[in-house]
Amino acid sequence: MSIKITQQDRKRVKSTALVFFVIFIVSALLATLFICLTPRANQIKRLSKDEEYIEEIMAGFDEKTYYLSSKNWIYGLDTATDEVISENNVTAEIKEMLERKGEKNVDRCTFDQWQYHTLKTESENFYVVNDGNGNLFKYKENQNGQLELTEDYFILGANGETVQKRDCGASDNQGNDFYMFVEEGGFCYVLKYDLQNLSAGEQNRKFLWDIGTGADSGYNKVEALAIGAGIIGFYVQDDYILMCKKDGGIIRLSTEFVDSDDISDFFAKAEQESVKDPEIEAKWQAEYDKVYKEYLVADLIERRASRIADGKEFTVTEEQIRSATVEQILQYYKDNDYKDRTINNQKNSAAESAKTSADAKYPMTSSWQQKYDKDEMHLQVKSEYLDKAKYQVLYAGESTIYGMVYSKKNRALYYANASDGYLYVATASDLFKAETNTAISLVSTKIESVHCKKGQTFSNFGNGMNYNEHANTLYLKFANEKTVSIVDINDMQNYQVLYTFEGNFDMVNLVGDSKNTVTHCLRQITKVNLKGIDSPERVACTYNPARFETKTLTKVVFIAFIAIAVITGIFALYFAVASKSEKSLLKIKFIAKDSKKNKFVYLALVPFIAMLITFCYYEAVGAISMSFFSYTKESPAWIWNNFANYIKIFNEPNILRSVFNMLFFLVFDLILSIVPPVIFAILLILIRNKVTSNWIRALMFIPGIIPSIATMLIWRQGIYGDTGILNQMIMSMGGEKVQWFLNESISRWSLILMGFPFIGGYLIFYGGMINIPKEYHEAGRLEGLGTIKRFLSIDIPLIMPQIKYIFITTFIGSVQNFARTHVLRSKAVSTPVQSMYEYMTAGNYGMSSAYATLIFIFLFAAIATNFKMQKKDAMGADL
Amino acid sequence: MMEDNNVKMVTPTVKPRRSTLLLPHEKTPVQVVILTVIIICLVFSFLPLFLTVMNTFKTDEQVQFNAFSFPAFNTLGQAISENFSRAWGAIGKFYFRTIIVALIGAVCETIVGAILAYILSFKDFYFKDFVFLLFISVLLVPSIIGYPILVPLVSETFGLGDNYAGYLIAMIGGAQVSGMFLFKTFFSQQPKSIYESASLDGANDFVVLTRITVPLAFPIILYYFVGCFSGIYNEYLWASLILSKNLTLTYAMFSAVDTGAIEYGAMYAMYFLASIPLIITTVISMKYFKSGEFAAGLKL
Repeated sequence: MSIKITQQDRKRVKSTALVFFVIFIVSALLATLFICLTPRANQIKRLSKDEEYIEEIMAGFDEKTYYLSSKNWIYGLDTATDEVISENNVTAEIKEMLERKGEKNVDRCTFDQWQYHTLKTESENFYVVNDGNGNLFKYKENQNGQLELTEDYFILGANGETVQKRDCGASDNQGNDFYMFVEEGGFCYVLKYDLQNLSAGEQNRKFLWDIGTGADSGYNKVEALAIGAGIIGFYVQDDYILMCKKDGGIIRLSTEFVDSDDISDFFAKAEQESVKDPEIEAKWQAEYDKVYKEYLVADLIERRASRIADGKEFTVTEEQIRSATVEQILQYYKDNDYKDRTINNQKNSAAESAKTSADAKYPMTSSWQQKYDKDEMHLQVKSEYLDKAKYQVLYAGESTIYGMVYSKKNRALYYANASDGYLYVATASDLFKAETNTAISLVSTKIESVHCKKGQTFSNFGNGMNYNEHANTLYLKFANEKTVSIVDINDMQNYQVLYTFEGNFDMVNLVGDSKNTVTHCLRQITKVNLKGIDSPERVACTYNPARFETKTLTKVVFIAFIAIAVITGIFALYFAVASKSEKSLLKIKFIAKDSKKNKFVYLALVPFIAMLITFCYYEAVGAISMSFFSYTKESPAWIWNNFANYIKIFNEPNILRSVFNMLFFLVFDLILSIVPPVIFAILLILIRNKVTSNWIRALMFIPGIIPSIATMLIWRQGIYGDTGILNQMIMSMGGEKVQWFLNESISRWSLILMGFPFIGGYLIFYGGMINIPKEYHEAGRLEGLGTIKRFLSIDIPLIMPQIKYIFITTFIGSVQNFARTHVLRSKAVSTPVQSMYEYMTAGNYGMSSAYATLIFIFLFAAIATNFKMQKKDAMGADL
Repeated sequence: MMEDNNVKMVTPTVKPRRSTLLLPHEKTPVQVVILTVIIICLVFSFLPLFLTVMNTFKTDEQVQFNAFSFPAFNTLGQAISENFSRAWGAIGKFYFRTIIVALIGAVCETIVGAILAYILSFKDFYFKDFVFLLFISVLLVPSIIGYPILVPLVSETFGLGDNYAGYLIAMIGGAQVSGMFLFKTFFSQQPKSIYESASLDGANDFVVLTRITVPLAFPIILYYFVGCFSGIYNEYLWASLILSKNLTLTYAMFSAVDTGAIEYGAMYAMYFLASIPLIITTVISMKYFKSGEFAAGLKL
């Protein structure tokens, strides 16, 4: 078939090139446009090359923001220009200062990474740094706007106090006092310091009580239990501290708290009251007895009825039970063979129900409650006992609160209730009114317009909410999705979600300015799909949330345009070049004709190729690329780590043994997958009686009905196990039990010997041998070859294709065989593929990919060498 | 061939000379040795199966006391009811699901492989070699390498985590290459003349594929189908990565044994139950592949 190039064809190619070029230009332009339209962030320069990143925002203002880095440096940055104004090496400065002052307790200060917390103050001039053990150091801004470490510090950590929450520390409005929430040996305190004189130590200390939830029966339960570090909100204004507990409770604590109204006071008060009021006690006891008896009677009658229904006897009549005393009833239980346990159970549940019933009628007296709760060490206290001016439980609901902020402007508390996923507002006109000895009624209202979407929850990492004082907006953080909603709270009648932006990274701290720009502390950037910060480094960024709305769509459109641009660009170039050359034109014409003819073939191939690319190529390329990044399930970020995965693999202590194990298994697998089956196939061929051979081949299929995993498990337990047949045989001969997977060397052999007698794959060799033309054998016999020689020089060379096939499949299979070591739960023997599997299930995809890549390289090299050798052989044969 | 010779020679035409006609290895003592070796091999191959069948019908204590003993008659009823109810409790929920999933997967894999092999064997198009190369080079990439990417892709991007569809789709996508390669080897050995006459008769591709290609290559397609079925049925690694609540039978079985949540007797009953679906594949294999002739066309 000859194809001629006409002028028309030439024109057609040229115009096609032009069309492609136009599409290329348009899509490239559109892609550029999308980049420009994509919200961008001002990226703060990476602070240093040495893996340093922003750990926390210390304080953020319109003009400047202070950041604490992972290397414990404080950087002050100009908010507008992101220029570093000041930098302080916290660790070195503190150490130097402590040594200069001759501090004895230097050891009690820890300077490790991750240990630092900063405790912001409302005033711009102080920044208190806490080393995580409650030791406080103060930085002050000097006239030049530089931060200076003062010599005013306090070392607290000796008692084992630790600060649990970053945000649980604040100063009052005037910047005079500083309050901090501290945990010590399971108990929680609020400590007060004089900010002007930290070294004077704590000015006051208050033990915190836990607020029980579900306090709807006229009093707040205050339990003498430590607050389990569940404080998520901490706000100081005027003379009060507002605290919010994670499991639902808002406390108002006076800043003038004194330690004297300690929990022991309540014991005394409670005792006093119970002595004073025997009437209530007696009343309650009578009520208890009554309910208890009712319960027992009802239970016994029910039991009697069921006994009689079963046709069994019962010693007393129903009337007798009704008229009996409690003691008699208990005796009836025993008479009818109810064990003590049953009676006790009845007693307990009766007491339980009596308690509920009594509860409903009389307020519990504390002494009774004390007795009742003795076992649990609970003490519940009537709210009357609390000095409401000093300590007041404002709200105790059965809810899970993941964030609380107080808006000064609105004079309202906002809290994110994770139980139902709504934002709540709680207002009280006299919230900070001093000396009030009446309960403040906090009115909680559900804000219907602000809530989680279906399947969404509030973030419980730290405070799930942040407040932007300048703009009077709230930032609501959501769990998992890494999205933030910005809520305008200026209009208290109409709360509006201004924006929801999906930054797709972890946000630890949010600070905003009046322009409603969020400054995020990024613990780690995961997938930030925006130009400018799509770097695998950890940085802090400022965002203008107004420009965030569509993230995914922009990304998809951008990628689509880029893809179109690349493809059309290549085609345009090719067609343009081709139009000049006769040969290329011919080719193009031929392909065009062919494509037209075979368009259905190409169409039919599309799904297959799509699947191939999705499930094979994408994986292989992706895994190899991923092996150069830190990428885990928890933080799915492509963070370049300078070959750290590979370095880690090569530095792993048992890497050599692991590789040795792999090669050991490989060698034995190769031998055992070829030699025993070939011998077995030969033996089958040597059988004189065809019927017998037929039967044996049929029988050989039967063990295959056991699933392979089951076979392995049978080997593990039934054969190698403690009570497995090997040990049973050894013991019956008077030997000692053997631990077949005790250590590496025994396990290796045990694993190799699994699958004895290794003849499973004989059929392929047998099939190959029976298909050898008999003339070869006759010729061999005429040459005087014996049986053994015949197989060695005729049969085996002729089944080489099958042997090669098995060799290569076994090679690939053996290196990838993780089931062997995994199913046998034999941690003693590690192989690279086992490590890969372990990293993968642990969610460390980066490391797992690195292992996979190394395995791939090994296999690829081995197979390529094999094919090359085969080719050489083939060429040699041709010659 | 050797066997044919034997048959001819063994036919007793001249009785007294028979022994002299026998080749050295056909003499009775040699045959006895060969048969002994084969039987020993057979016995060991049957060991796991033997243990399964024996111990399924024994109580837990009996298994622990002696795994080799025969089931006691008086405890048989108790052992059966206990073991099977426990075993069914552990894997029953996934039993029929797994069979259906494996069947669907095997059918899809076979169809996909056959269509692809048909296109690449009988269709002539310009990029054929390129497409073939595209597919075949995947064979060099070990399947295990892609899992770190595949797991998040299927479970998160496609939203098919813990879903049988997600479990199957990746397996089908990965298996099409080996199916295509195997089928293509056999399809291209089929006589061209049949295809020519079919096209002269005006048969379309669908008719050719279903009436000529598939029937001609039926044993190898069946071989592949059976392999796919037991492959999906036995798959462990991929199942353990992608499934969490909707398990496959083998994965559920492994978990039950691995966590020690099941008694010894019930464990064997579980293996027994898990073996039942494979009986059909075994019978098919026995019927079609016993001769080993399919292996002749096998080459790499």
